[in-house]
Amino acid sequence: MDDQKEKRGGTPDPNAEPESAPEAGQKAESDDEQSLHDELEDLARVFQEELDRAKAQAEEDANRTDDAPGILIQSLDDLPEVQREADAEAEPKNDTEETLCECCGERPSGTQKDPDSPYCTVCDEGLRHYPFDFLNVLLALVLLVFVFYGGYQFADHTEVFVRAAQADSLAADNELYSALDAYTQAEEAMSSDRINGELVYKRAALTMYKLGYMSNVVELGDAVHSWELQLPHFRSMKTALDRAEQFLATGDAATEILSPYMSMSAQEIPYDDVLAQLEALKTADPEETTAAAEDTTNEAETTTEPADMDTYTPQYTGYNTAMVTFYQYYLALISDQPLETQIGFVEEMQSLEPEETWMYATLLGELYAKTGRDIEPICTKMLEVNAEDDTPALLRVIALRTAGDYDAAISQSEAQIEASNEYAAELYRQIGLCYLLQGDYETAYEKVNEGFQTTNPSIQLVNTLALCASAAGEEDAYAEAADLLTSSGYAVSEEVLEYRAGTRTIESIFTEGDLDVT
Amino acid sequence: MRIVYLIVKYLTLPGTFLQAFFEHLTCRVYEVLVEDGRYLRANEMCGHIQHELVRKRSTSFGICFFPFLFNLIAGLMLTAVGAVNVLYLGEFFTSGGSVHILNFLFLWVGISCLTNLFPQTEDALTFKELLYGKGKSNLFVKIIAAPVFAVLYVGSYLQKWGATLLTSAAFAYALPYILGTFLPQLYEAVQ
Repeated sequence: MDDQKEKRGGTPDPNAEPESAPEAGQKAESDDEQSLHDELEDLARVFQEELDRAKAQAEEDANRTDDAPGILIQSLDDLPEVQREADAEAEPKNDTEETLCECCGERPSGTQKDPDSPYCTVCDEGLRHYPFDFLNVLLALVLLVFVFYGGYQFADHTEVFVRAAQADSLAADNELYSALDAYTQAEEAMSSDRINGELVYKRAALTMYKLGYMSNVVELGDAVHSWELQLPHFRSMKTALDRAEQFLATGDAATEILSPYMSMSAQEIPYDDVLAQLEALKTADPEETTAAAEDTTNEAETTTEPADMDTYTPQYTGYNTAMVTFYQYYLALISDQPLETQIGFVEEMQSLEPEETWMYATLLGELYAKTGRDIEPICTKMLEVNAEDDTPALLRVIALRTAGDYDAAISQSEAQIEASNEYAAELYRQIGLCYLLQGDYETAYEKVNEGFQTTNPSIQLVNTLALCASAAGEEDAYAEAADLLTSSGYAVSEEVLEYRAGTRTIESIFTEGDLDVT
Repeated sequence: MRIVYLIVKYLTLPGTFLQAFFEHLTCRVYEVLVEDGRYLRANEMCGHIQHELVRKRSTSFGICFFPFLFNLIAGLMLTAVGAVNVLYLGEFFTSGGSVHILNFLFLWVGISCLTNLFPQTEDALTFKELLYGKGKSNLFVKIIAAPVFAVLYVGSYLQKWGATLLTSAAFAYALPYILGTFLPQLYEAVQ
């Protein structure tokens, strides 16, 4: 159009020849009108051509859309050449980046399912099945094998765990004897499976400590490394070990003082002197005593074992005062001191070590029962510590017997024997004593003899049997009981001998002195 | 918070890895488009797979639940043996006297798995939208899925703050006592 404009009008040609003025003026007017007319015609023709082309293009586009109605976005290849060229001229670079796959950068983005997807069909399919790295698969397999091995290990430890859990549950319910049995089973299982369960040993040691089995507590100290005992989770075991060793050392020191007087009669024992020696023990230094003892031992030994550096050496300062008091009570007992003196020592033990019921509770209960005091508080405390302790039941029977309520004592004893009380033999003895005090000597002898048959008899039971046999006129039985005592290195008790000599009655035996056959 | 999250993730590396692996596996099973398959990136995607936005409820449930389930099973097994041996029985040393590394390894990997149970917060939110969004599912499905959803949803936030390390450690400590309430009876019954 511009070319035509230049040719047919517009700027005059500076190189054209000049004409005359009037002719030139008319001719110029005529040329201008013609030029304008031609230009308008050209414009009309150009517009018409453009309009026709646009209509044709619109029809063509409409036909294409009708042919493929499901395709919302055309691919680059489908675009008409003209349109592509026009678009390329307008925004050539940006358009290419938007439509290519973000993953491969080669194929056009969008899939049939998701046309807006930034990925091409191939990459989309690939990313939906994203490959596993070989190393990752290997690691995952290793971990899964580890899980299965863990399961195997768990199965291997199940028995130990079950026994330990049972023991812990019983200990939590204060059923200490059953707990101890379960701990023993757990220890056996650990030993057979070569498992070193240190926390099981710790809990077993604490249970044994509650029951007063101090030697066993010290033995369990070897199961744990000495440095571990300094750690917080073994602190309670360390305390138990230290105290157990202190009790044992005190016991050894006190026994050393008492041993010369054990076989003496009550009258021969220098009570005050021995009591003073024991009293001095309360402030003595155990290291000096131990060193002196070790010196004597070393003299006798020719070789010594090298010390195990990993074994814990319990630490304590001084002997245990309550334990020394226990031996003072024992001295009072063998010296036939009054019951009130004995009670004084046991009550002192209670005040010094109120938590150590294993040390004083049974003694205090028996002394209270004999002297007609209320035994229920001490029985309750014993059952709180160990619900399986049969001692309170026995103490109640003794209390009933000493109070003169023989029928109740007999019925309670029989009920306890029926319930498998561990002190069945002693309960039979108590029944026998009730019948003896009621004057039924034959039944008394039968009951005590029944107790004698049930278990390994105590010295007191054999002496009671001898007394009942004497009272019932069973001389053969008496001779048998006396033989048993003498063959075991014991003598028949003074009460029995005095009764047989006629210097003492049955009533006096159970109402004076120790209130029982010793 | 991100640094705490990352520290916890790297401290519990086996669980982090296993969770990402199971997430990857689930994505493959459900044919979910994975945009980035790296397991241990040093960002909030550590231990997770970057995948496309899921639009199906069942797929969203699967992506949230199955990695949780697999890690839970692995974690329970390993924590049980580790916690019983170390925390309950106290088997710190072998019978030969050396440190029982295997027991400590069981405990560590077990706690790791339990620390990395939960889905990414975005996945949990997507699941929430698909489950409880307006007109998305019926009341029965909403009620049935509620406990699982609650666990996954709360857990995803705890995991985001790294608090699952504390919860899994506490669980490991309690696990022997939980086992002790029923295993002895079961053992006796089987015997």
